[in-house]
Amino acid sequence: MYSPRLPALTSKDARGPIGLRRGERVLFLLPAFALLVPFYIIPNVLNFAVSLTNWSTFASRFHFIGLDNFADLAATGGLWDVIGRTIVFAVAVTLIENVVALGLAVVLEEPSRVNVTLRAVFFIPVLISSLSAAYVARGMLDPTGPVNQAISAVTNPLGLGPFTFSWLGDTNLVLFLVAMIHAWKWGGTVMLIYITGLAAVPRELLDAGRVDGATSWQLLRHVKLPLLGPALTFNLTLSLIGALGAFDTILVLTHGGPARATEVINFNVWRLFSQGYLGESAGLSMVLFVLCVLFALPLIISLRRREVRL
Amino acid sequence: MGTLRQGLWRRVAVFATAAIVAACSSSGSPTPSSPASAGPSAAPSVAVSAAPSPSAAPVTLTVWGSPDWNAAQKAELQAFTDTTGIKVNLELPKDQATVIAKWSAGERPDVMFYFADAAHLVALNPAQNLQDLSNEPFAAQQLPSIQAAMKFDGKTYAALWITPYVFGMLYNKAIFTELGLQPPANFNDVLAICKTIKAKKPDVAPVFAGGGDMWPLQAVVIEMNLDGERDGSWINGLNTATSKFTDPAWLQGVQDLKQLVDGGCYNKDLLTATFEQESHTLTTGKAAMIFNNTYEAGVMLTNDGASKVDSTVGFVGISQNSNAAGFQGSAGIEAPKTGDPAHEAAARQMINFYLIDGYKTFINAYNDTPVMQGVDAPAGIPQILKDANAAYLKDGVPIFSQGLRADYGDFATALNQMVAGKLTPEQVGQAMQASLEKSAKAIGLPGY
Repeated sequence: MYSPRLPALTSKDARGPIGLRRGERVLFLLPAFALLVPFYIIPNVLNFAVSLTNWSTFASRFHFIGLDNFADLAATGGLWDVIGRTIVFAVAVTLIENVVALGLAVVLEEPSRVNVTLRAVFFIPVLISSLSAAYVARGMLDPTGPVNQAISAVTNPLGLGPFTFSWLGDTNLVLFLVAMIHAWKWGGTVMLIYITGLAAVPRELLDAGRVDGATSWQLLRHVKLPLLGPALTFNLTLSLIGALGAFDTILVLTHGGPARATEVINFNVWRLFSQGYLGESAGLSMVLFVLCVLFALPLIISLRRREVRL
Repeated sequence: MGTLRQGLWRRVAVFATAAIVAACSSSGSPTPSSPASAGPSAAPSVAVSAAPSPSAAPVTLTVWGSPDWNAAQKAELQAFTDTTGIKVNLELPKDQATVIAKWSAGERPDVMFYFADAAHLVALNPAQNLQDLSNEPFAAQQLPSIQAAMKFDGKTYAALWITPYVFGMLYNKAIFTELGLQPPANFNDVLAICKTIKAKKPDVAPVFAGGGDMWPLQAVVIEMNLDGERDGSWINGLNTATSKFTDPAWLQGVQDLKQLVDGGCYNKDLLTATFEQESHTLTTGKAAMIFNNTYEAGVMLTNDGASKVDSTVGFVGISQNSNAAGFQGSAGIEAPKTGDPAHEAAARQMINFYLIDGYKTFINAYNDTPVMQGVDAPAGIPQILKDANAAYLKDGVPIFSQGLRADYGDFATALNQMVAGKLTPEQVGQAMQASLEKSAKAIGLPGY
């Protein structure tokens, strides 16, 4: 194995993996910290502090109450229900988004004119505002909307009458429908990342596989998918955390209903805030933060280990 | 090559993941600011005149209005600017929840058009955050009944610029005439009318509500409970912890709603239909009855015009055993304390202009019953509003939130849950009671 001899470096001018001195690295990090500290770290620390108070719009003064907000949320706010609903929603979004986007990426990998056009078509929802996309979806799923009209075009001639099912009114179905719409909205980004990952697979590996007689499926299964590890890590994390923080799509589609069936944590944070319970709202947003960390870190660590093994 | 690509991927993934976690956790509450920073106590009262004051520094008032405002309401703002030279920066928060969300985040407009009943004012903590308008010239000129209704701890924190919203049943006159039906005089009549319409006009929803927007579900409960709230003792009991939302006095209306739903009286898409859809169903004959208030009548008038609405839609007050008409001081104007004496004075000037110098022009353009003494009613008030006002004058009863000194939580959402079969009427009452107790403790009401 070729091993270049490098001159010895003192600790003062030790370079990192991309060849920058420590001082230079600090310089590059400064802009990020200049944004991160005032706009993220300090607000979150203050948010945590607020979650330990009884601050509300109803009273002129507030004081420290320890973990009472969390106890109240658990006792009266349906905390466990909303956490469970949020997890189910996030997992559903992650699965739908990644399975569909990966399939599309495999089919549309080659940059032909048709494929490039179709990529653009599937990416369009990402460019639309979330609220607009949700309004479109709500209109489509209205009992008298295009979806039911299309089904009625089949049921009417069969003598079954018009189809007027209230898609977003079914408490058992609605969370998964909203998950599908959320996945449709953001799946374009995931698809592009998978396509980029597929394009980065070394051609020589694929050529070697073909020489060895591997079929297209075998190349996908045993060469391309394993090398998609970094893209998979990124996409799963992106999907999961994006879904855990979902709000605007739900606000438009269902307003958390029917019967709270689509009330996820962020929606409850907004609800409590809109009612003037600022401390409790901050507490619930801390619950979301913890949930994000609990889900994201093990996911990233396990997927990264898998990448290393591969 | 592969290693370099993977190395880049890792950095991208780690950086992006960190950014996403940051985005995820930062949603929700804003950076806190001390409520004490809302401003000092009320600025010294100044002489109020609609005429421009040459010595006054030019100010631009930030005003929170409503997206539903019609041309008359918007014209009044322009008239104020034209008359006084004070410019207005109009913002239109979508709904009550948005107003409170902005308020909670520390935003303070100079003037806000918001509910004026006690249960909504408490969330603003008026003693701390609103200017006391008790000694402003307009206050003594409001109708005596309005003056009394606007008092909060003996002070006036809000003006009412439009007659109180009157609660009742709006109905399609043609359907009632065709089926030989009379407007109901009690809840049993409503049930009977529902059965008749279901039998004879199956394509028509006997009752329609935009339950997907939640709040339209509340009206029927509020209305059916009016008879039990006439003397005010039950509502006063809520303020003193001697009565509860789990009392039969309140559960009656909740059970009535459930009975109507279980009886198939409502539209099939009750859980997802919107208020916007609701506001078109009577004039188009898709529904026969709606329980709501004159706010919806106003939306219908804006949508379809007075002649169409008056020819198709009727109004009647309704409660469990009578034609009582609930009322609520909804269309209020408040002047938050901002800490800027010039802005606070200009805000009070604006309210006085609205209700004194500019009021006749406004109420004539708005075409509704005036709330100021000495102002004649316009000649062309739409019949539906006349009917509502007549019901109010005949047997008006303040709805529960008019005198309630605490918040009552997600009443509408609890009703939506009940409609979906997830809660019983008793559980709806328990949820409201829990919210009442929570807010009452925060406010410091005695007994809680």
